[in-house]
Amino acid sequence: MRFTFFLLFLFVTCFVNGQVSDTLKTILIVHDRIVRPMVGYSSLELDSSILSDYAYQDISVLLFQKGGMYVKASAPNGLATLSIRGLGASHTQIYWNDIPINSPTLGLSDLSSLPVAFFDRVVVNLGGASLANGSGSLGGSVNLMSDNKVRVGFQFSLGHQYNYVLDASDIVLRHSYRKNLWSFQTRLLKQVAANAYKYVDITQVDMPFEVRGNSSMERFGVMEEIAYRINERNDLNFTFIGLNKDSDIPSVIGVSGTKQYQLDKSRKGMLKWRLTLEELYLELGVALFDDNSEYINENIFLRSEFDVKTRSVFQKMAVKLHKNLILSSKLNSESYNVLSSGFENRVNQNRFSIMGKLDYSRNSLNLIACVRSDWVDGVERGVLPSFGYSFFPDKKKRWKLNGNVSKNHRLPSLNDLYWSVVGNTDLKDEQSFNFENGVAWSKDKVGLKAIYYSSLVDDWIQWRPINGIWRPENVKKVINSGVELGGHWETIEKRDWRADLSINYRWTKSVNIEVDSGDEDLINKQLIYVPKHHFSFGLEMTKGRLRMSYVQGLVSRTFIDAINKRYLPYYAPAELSLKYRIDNGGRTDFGLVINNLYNEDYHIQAGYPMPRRNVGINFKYTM
Amino acid sequence: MMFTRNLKYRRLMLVAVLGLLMGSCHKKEIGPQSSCDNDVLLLQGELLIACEGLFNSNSASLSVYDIEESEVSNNVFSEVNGSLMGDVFQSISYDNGLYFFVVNNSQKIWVVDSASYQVVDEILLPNRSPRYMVHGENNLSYSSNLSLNPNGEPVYIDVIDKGSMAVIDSINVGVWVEEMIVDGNMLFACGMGASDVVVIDTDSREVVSAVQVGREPVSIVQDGNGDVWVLCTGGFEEELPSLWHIDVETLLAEGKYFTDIGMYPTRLIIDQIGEQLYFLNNGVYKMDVALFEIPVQAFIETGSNDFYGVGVGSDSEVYIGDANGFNGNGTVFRYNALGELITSFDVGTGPSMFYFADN
Repeated sequence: MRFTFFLLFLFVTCFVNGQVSDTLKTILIVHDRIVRPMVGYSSLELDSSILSDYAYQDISVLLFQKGGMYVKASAPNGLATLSIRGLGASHTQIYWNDIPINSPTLGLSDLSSLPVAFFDRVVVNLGGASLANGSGSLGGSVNLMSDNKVRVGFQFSLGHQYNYVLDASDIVLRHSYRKNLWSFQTRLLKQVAANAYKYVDITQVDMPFEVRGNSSMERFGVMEEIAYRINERNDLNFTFIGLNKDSDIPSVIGVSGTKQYQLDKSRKGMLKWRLTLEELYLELGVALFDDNSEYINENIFLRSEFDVKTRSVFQKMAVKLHKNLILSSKLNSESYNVLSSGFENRVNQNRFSIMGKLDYSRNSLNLIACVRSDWVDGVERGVLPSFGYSFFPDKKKRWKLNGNVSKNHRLPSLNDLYWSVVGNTDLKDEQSFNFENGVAWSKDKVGLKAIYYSSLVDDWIQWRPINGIWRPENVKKVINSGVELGGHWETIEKRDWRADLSINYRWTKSVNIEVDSGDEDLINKQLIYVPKHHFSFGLEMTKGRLRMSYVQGLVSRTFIDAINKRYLPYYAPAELSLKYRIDNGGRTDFGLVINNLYNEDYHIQAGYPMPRRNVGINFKYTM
Repeated sequence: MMFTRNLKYRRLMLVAVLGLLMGSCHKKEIGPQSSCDNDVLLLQGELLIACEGLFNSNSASLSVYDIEESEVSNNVFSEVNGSLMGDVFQSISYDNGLYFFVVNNSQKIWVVDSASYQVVDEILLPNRSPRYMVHGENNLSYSSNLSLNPNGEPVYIDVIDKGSMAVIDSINVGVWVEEMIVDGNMLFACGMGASDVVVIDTDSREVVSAVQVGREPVSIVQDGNGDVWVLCTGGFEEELPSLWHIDVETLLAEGKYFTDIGMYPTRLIIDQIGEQLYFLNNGVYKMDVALFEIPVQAFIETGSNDFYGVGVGSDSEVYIGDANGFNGNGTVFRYNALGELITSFDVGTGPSMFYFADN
């Protein structure tokens, strides 16, 4: 059925006719001139060239290795969540082409369910920068972009990676066709992994090696993008992603015989119209999502499921009011319809948000003033202002100063509000005040940056037991602050020899400053699963057809209880990859990837060991 | 020019080598570690405290408390045996010089020498979710299991032979069972998944009766008269919670209901002479078995604490476990027989059950 669909699509695309037109580049240039990023705010963009190296991975691996982000993962292909700037997974909103895709029930996204192969760019907005897309990302947000950029003619690529340690096979097929006013692109993904890897069983006296059980995964995905250029200023885009994932869920180590698994189905479709003029950009769109998940534990006959239907309408506009002044706005409306085994009835929620932004730029100064407001089921949840600047103090623009202040809030999730009996409809929104300032210096191929940030989060929502029953409550106030240092050095020694080096370091202090009566021991204690130090180092060297990449992370100890008595030791996984390219009419890449190069035994989540050294070999043919 | 290029190259190599060295550093610690150490390792304490640990984190632990000296040792199991205890320490029972530590999510029961706390055996229960263990005649023991069985799948009480430390039989009771007691050849089991106390003949290993009580019977004790008391939570606001008295001879049951459906009473225990019942309902409540009236006034108020477990010693001293929101270590409060606080001390995460070695 899946391949029938694909063959049918190939057939259709071959018979589309019309005149050749190539105005896409012009439209994109104009678009980038008007629709500006949040100048003065911190963000990180991982482009398609980086993503292509991670085509067989999910977003969590990409963000850890290339983004230097702290990702909490339980296993390969297992639940993975992102923590940005010392805040939790629920404080990190994930967007797909500017539309929020966090589960409204849990309030977070499982990054392992998002394959890199289906996205062209990943933009990480840190702190206040996330307000460009929406509220709720008190730590930051991740925007997964599908750009639908298709070259004229027929393009085809097929890639396969096999990891013999994990017994994991990943196939990615990509096909595109563009002629005249139409373009089509199809991506197919098939992943099968046994994930039966060796680990040290610390629950046994002599700490023997055991083999991880009940950890296999199978995923199939299809993505379809269709674009129609109405004329030089107007275009229509349709994007669809369908993903099925069937995964066993390994238990905490020391437990054998647990049979629990999860079936996830996700369907996401989006239709968008864009108008791009010299001084106006307008985008209107609708999106429909249907996400279904079913969890089964055969040992205790526990079965739970949820089905979330999301309707989204969005509008984005940017208009040049003056040569130095651009006004932007963004409207989003999401309507959730949720059926969950945890709810007594079907739950509906309507969210509406509006954002207005003014960009002023003159000579060396850029200023941004932004205001956002949210409504939930018609009730306004407060106004969120933010202000940012960037300034080049020297004529050569080697130095750059930037900073911002912002206010943000996070709404309680539907589970927080409506979980049977224990849900708490009296919960208040979490409130945050964020501040950051930074300095950057660059010259030729060398760049350095330093950022200091701080945020105060009040009315933090936490589930805790009351008389033995766990309920969500607004329990504490948290302050988190940190320093981010980064350096990048690109050097070219000879015509066919090139090296890129990047170093990043993050220091994060995220502590409770106010807690409920009786919990005073928790004051000034680092939040769980927030490493104080996170270092990452990347070296990429290219010589002719050969490319070598080395990525080294170092995550300091993370506390796993709130009073900071129990912890996970530091870990420093490294990845080495080699790629060799052959051009012979088409293009063939052969690659070798060694993960966990130094064979480290480590846990990112307590009781869930990560794989020791494992090797993948891959090839990709592009026509 | 050549010098500059060489300098760049050297810098690049230096950083690369530093990165490689950093990654190749070896460490000894693997997985969860604890930075709290015991001053002394108590092996003669009279009070054993089961600390559940946080679910799915392998942080179950055993604390041992010397009542006379008011000293506590934490993580005793791990310190003695050198391995983690497992995930969710559910309950403790004792028989013939051995402790049986039921570790729910690890699907096992540790069999431990009561003098040294050294593991002498382990009973593996794959595909089970063991909760409590009681000991009967003929060297047999019984282990209850959690199961939600929405479609009527079988749910078993496992019969364990203590000679071989293996499951020799399983009795299908059809419902999720929590606490149990044995009276002669009769096993009384709280049918948490229903509204019954299941009665099993341990000779024939068959269910012979089901005594109807309130919704979700969770705790069961036997008083000095031999009668059985059963506490029912009422479910999550499904029914008023209730307390039941069952005559073991006639199996006649009499129940009294709490007044507020929002209450969730748990952890019914009885003092060592079988006269006073205690249970948690935010605070600690106390009831004389001779006066079957559900108390409305707490014997010990919860205050800002989060009471999670309760135990009563031979001199009617009350020990209360505070889970501290499962934020880390738990706290045990020790009260005298009048309900006055004597002392408190830190234990492992989620102190839920107390076992007195002088029982």
